[in-house]
Amino acid sequence: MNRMLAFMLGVCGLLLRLYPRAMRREFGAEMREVCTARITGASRHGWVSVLRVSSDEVSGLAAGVCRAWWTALRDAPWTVHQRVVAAAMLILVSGLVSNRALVATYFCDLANIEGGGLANRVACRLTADPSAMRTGMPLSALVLVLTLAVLGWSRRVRWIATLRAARYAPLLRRELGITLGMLLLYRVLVHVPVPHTDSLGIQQLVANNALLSLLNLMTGGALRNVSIVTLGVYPHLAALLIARLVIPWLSAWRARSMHGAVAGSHKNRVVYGLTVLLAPLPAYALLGMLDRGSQGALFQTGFVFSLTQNVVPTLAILLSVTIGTLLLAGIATLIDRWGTGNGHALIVVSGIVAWSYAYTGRFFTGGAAANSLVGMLAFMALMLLTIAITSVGERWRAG
Amino acid sequence: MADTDTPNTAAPPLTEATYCILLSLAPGPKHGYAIMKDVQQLSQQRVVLSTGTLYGALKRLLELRWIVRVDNATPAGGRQPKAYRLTAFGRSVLQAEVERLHRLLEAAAGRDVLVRL
Repeated sequence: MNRMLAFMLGVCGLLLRLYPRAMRREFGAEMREVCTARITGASRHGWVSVLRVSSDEVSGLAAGVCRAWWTALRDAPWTVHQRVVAAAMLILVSGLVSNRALVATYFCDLANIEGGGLANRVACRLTADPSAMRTGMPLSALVLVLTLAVLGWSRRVRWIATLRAARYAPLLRRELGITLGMLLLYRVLVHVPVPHTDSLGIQQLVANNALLSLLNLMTGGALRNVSIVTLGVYPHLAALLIARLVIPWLSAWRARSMHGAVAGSHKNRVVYGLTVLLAPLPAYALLGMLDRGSQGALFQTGFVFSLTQNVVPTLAILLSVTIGTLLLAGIATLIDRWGTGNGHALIVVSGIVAWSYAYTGRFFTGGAAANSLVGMLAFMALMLLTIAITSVGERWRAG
Repeated sequence: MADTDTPNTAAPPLTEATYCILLSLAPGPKHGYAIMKDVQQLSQQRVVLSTGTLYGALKRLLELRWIVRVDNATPAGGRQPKAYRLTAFGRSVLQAEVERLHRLLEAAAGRDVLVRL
């Protein structure tokens, strides 16, 4: 018991160190005392109580750290040098994130820690693949623009103040900004693959199979990358549906539902829990089927995707898909709450739109150049035509 | 800091946690752990604040000048934790919230929705 207590207090102490310096100076000592008092107080009721209170403290502190840093960064009067350094850091991180080889290596290292070590393997990968950083360049450029925009979002910058004073609806602007940011994050996640996959193999498989191409279109290109968000928002939607069907039948839940906000947060927890349960099953089925259908082209040579023969790496794959699904569910929920429109629908539609651009390009250019200007213009024309037809139809219906 | 400072900032409706914290400080100054316990008791165990949530909320309330930090008299040999006290502005915000809730309850009573009062 004492060891567990010391461990939990250590974890809390570590999290307290992660707070911004200003907050640590002002509240650090007090927070440590309160945290210690709460956890040691719980130890009188047994180790289960200690675990419960500690997990509550740890999650609260972790969320508090994020909030405190966000507030500190948002309100900080950034100097030009700080902005440039932060932008450079973001570019570097985005370059690494968008580089599939590095991310895959990282996941592999997490799954089976080998003698070589992560740093060595990353260094080998960089030297063996000189084009490694080039993969992330388009994304990096976008992130650079966004970063400068975010960092420039300071009260001290005059042109931003002018923009703010402009006659835009600030609430709508904020909602649109959040929605676009979340959708961008989703598009980044689409390019993060699960470990041990062979990107070339799956790309050929998808290109040569009409059904898989359609599935790839529906997942916004995630299937082609064997991304951690291959399952999309569907497990979360299934969990929402199950929760909606089951919860009204639980009498205890009805009692809790008298307290609106609390019931809402309990429901969210149940839905996320159900998502964690639901995501690995279709992931195992889908990847297993693809593996068999592709005759081993999906994964790296020699890799066996099986929970009985190759437990830890297979579990790592399922875990990464589950985490990706949860991230996507979180993104959808954030859009629902702070953004504009329905988060789940927007994610599905944005995926289809993003990927259908390439297909439309192929259609108009005979498959020669999917990314050609003609294809892009044709796609935009189709989009405008669809919007025009829809709006005319709506007006006609409205009379 | 003067109690009469009335910055032009957020107003009711308050979140449940903020409301409970302000309510907990209404009788008099309290330190962090006492607020945490009191909020738990006030909300009948529904609102359980963790340290991170509590101090995040306290920092925000300090910035809004709804509460202030006060130094308690130090007992011999021991370090007394800092206490927090409602400002006049914070009290008026709390009163406005209570009035708002009261009006909502009256509206519900008018429609015969309340099971028990």
